[in-house]
Amino acid sequence: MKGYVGKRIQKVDALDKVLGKPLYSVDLDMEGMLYLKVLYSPHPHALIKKVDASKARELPGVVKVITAADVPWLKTYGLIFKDQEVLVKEKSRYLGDRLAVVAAEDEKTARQALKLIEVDYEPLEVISDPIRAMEPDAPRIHESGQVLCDHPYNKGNVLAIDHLVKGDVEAGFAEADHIFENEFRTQHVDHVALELEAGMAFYDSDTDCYTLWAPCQWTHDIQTDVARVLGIRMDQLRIVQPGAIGGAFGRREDISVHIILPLMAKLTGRPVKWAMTRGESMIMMTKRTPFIFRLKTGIKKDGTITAWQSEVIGDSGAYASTAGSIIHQAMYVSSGPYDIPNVKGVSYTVYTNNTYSGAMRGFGATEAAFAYERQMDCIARDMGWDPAEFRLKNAFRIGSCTSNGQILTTSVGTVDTILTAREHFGGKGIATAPHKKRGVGMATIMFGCGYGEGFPDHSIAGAKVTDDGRILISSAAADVGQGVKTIMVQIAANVLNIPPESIDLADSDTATTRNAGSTSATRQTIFSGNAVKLAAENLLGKIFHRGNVELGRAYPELSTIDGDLILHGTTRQMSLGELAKIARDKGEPLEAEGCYFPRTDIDYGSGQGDVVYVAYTYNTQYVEVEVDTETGEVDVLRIVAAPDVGTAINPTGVEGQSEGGSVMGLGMALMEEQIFNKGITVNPDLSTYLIPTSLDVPDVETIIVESGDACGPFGAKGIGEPAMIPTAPAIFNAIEDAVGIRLYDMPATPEKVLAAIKAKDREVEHE
Amino acid sequence: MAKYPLDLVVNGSKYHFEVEADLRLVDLLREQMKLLGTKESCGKGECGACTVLMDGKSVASCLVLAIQANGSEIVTVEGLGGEEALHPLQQAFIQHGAVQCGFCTPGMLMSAKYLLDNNPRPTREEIRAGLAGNLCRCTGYVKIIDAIQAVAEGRLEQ
Amino acid sequence: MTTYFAPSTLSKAVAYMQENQTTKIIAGGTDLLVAHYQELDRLPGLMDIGNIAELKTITTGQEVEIGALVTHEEIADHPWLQQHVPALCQGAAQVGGPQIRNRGTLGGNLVHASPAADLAPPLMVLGAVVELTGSSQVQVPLEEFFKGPGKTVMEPNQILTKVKFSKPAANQGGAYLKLGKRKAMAIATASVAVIVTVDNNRLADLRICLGSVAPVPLRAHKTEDLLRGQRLDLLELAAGERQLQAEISPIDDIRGSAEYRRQAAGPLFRRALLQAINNVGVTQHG
Ligand SMILES: Cc1cc2nc3c(=O)[nH]c(=O)nc-3n(C[C@H](O)[C@H](O)[C@H](O)COP(=O)(O)OP(=O)(O)OC[C@H]3O[C@@H](n4cnc5c(N)ncnc54)[C@H](O)[C@@H]3O)c2cc1C
Ligand code: FES
Ligand code: FES
Repeated sequence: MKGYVGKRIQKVDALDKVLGKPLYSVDLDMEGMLYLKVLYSPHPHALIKKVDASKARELPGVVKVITAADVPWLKTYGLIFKDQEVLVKEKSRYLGDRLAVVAAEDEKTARQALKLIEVDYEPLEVISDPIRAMEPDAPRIHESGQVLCDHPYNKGNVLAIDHLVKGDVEAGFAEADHIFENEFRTQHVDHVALELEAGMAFYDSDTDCYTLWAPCQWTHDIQTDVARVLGIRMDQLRIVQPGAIGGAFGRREDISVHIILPLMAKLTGRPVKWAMTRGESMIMMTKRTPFIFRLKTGIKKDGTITAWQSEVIGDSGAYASTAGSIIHQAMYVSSGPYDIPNVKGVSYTVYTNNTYSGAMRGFGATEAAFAYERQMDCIARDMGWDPAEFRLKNAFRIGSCTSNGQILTTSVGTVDTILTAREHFGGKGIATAPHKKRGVGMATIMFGCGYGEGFPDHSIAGAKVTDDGRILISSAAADVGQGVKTIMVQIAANVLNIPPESIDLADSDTATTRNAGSTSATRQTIFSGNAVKLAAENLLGKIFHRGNVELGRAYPELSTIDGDLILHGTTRQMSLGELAKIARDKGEPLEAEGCYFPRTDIDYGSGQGDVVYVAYTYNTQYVEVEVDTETGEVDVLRIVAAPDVGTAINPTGVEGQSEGGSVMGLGMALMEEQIFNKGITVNPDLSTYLIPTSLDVPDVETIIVESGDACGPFGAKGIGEPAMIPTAPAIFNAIEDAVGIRLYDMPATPEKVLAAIKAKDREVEHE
Repeated sequence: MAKYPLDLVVNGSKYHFEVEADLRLVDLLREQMKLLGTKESCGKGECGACTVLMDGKSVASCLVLAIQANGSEIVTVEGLGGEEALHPLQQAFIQHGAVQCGFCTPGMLMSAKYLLDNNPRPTREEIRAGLAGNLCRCTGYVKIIDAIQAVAEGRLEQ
Repeated sequence: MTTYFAPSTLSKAVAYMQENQTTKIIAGGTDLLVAHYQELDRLPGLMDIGNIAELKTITTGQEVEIGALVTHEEIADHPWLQQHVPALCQGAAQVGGPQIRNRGTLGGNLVHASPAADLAPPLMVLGAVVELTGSSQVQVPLEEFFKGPGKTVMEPNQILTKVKFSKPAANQGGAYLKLGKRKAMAIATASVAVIVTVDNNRLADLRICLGSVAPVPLRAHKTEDLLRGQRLDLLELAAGERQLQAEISPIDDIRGSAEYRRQAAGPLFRRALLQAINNVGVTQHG
């Protein structure tokens, strides 16, 4: 049944966006508003001896300055473990820890006031290497008695240790003819959403209620945490998503401006606004988790993988955020989309004094794929296998069992995506100069959609017919640019057989919309898509019921067409608006709700479960590169992507994710790295932290594979994260194909590539 | 604090302001004129989100002092086309799916306009070069380039 | 607080600078506004030279003069300059992106004195001279102009008014190549400008200048000496590359290590040299 599903419907918010009309957080203002500026720690790891704000308080135009001493009642916060202080009292653990907040009549004054705050501190050893952090004599970043000490594995700076056991890995290695061991490393990456963290808050003393306008990937979750920190009831805090959100990529799962804004609104009695600079944002906010993967793989002569073992160390930085989950998930998936009987893994989540790590597109799966697809490629190369054939030999198929012990029963696209991408890619071209060499690389990945692992992940949506005959969908699902609003409209349009133009979306507002879960984990198409589908179906049921009563005819004779309820074979019809009015007057309004709440499970001791994720998205990419053997520059000439999304609700949207994701993967592969020197961010701006420009990227050709039959609406699965995951390993594999160098660490800067080429040349000379 | 007279034309209308020397053009547009389509994402000329046309040339409005625009003609995204009369580039961006989060979009449109004003039939490579000063983190640029190429080749659906 | 003055003539500007020595000159502002990001209000005063028409001209002919306010874009797109001094246009075309090239000026690029400034190496190999106007007017060879990162011989009250050089001869050719960490909007990790004079199938003369490998744009005199006079078909390119690598002493920074800069500068130079030789004559018609 395809009406509006599968069509290239224009994005519902595109018109406003090309006109420059949507108000993003930074565009908001209110009468009498104050501006906030924040003083950050002068040192990544230090005892804070004194914060003296008296001079700042005297500056004309300054309305309020607070330090930790002024708000001792604030609770700590954090997405999973509550290990972050809003303002640090005794100790700073990274450069983005906050010491004071200034509220002033204008930003300039607030900035000047920051310079007048005096801080005395005593520097401590800065730990920027997780290996050092794990040593017994390393100073502890979070002392005992911290919120974390009830965690069973919490010792020293190790926040969590997780395990995976499937089969008998030792027996698997014993069976193998070859053993391959490699270590791979990934780097700190910044999200670089174009919209910086910002927001506005207002406190109403009459009702003792707060309103906060700031982008959130999951409004209801942030609402819970902020209310807890402020010591207020949930219903005293209303969070309204701004009119548009300028990208997120995982960064907007974490608290940024969300506590300080309502806090200062109350303390000053005025509306307040805080807009970060790029430098602040880069220093204070989360990073992609840097990883060390130690992989060991056992293979039989015929290419069958018998055993896979992973040791994974992830740098959580100064706070936990979601790093513990990211890191164990990376470990869980670090054997890729391959059917392997014996898998064992252990992961360590480690505190350091680097800026803390958090969710970023892929949530561990991106980094893991770099490791496993490099490992697979190295093995194929060393054993003389064609890289695609070697993967096909071990690839997941229906009936395969994941490393988490889940039997895959439906919508398994590994083989299809490999074959599709390979066929479309064809062959490689000829290098453009004698000092340039071309290479082809591929990578294939899988990604579990939704939170999985037994988390009570769900989404609720509402649908109703308004008196003017339009449909109003209410959902709190955050559209961060990826287009979930459009998807929801298409789904509702499809179910109700009403053109998308007749469908409106309610504002995402915790006061009026229900929990839609997070815009992360590639889950909104499945979760909110299903919730909207269910809501629309329930609404359709009510429409039919009411139509049946009012028109006096049986269901099979009714249809909705373009906003009217039609009685077949007659000219009788009734507009949905009329029907809605009648229904409301009779006390049965045309309103419905849908909730999608699938079950997942896991045993954390072994990492095994029956349904660990509700669905898996697969993606294979082929890339062609040209490497300059004298300068080490890598030019990515082509990217061919074949994602299996089950059903493409909106092919343009899928392509958009595939293209944007691939380019983000390209940036991670070749140029992006947030560099820390003893905990100090060396490159907190866009002239030194480089992301790809239009000249650095090739055209990305996306061939959508539709294996159908997934649990999302109309057989769909998600695409946001898996879009980027194969790109980086495919590029590295292509570099190896081009110039025969084996790189283990991202990014492959010209410098690293050239050094490896030179080292290889020297080896050849020696032979 | 000393203020300086500033006369300029923005989106076809004349304006007079008294401004401080350190006010940037992006602040004048956004804060004083409430032309919020122009965005700021780095403040250092690196991202292009703040791109506007100044006397027909694309500039980063975060790197121009408002007072330096004295006597100039400025065009922002609000001056590109209205809802009823979309500029072909705006139409193409919608049709080709060139907009995701939209934060880069106003700047992209202004750079694209500058490009096509000076080179009505650019190659794909020339389009890439014309957008080199505008970062987009969402789209991978592909559909933005498609959209501009469609306008250049007169391939817009009506 | 910041004062602002925008003279319409050079003489007014010069007079103002004599009186207000702490005033900062602003041209395109693309370096100044970045350097003082979020601190513009702390500048004592600004003199905007953007209205001074006499600084905006390009004079072509046997003697070429480019006004300090000429933008990168104007240089890159200038047909005569493209034909006669392609290396300079290549430099200008590789500065930042369009928005930066539309505002950034020749004068600002030189006075800012970044070791990576893209106009410095091509102008240096052209033997350019800068004209500085203050209490008097002086001409300084560009080779003597730079004193270190951000440092020049200029006095606080001087204005850089123009850059002059002679049109390259028919048997000369030039090229400029830049290496960065991405393909656009990248400050050079290393860059090379070369100008060659070819006579009788010999490399009668050459000048090489590198960017980003020393505190100031660096002439590679020894490499020039090594290759000067060699027959084009017997050019000792490998020896030239090695000499060049030996001659420079780059540093480690965020854009690249010393080692990488040294390694990459060799081939970059070789390519620039061959391109410059290729450009001999090609660019001289008309
Ligand atoms: C995003 C970005 C990318 C960039 N990329 C590059 C690049 O790739 N390559 C490159 O070389 N540069 C690059 N730059 C630097 C910059 O654009 C150039 O150096 C530009 O030419 C500076 O000129 P301006 O007129 O903008 O200088 P301004 O900022 O106006 O001035 C710079 C300095 O020079 C002084 N000054 C200016 N003109 C004069 C004069 N006539 N007499 C005396 N003093 C004067 C000013 O007082 C100030 O100290 C980039 C800058 C940005 C923001
Ligand atoms: S905000 Fe002006 S270029 Fe980024
Ligand atoms: S659409 Fe989001 S940055 Fe371009």
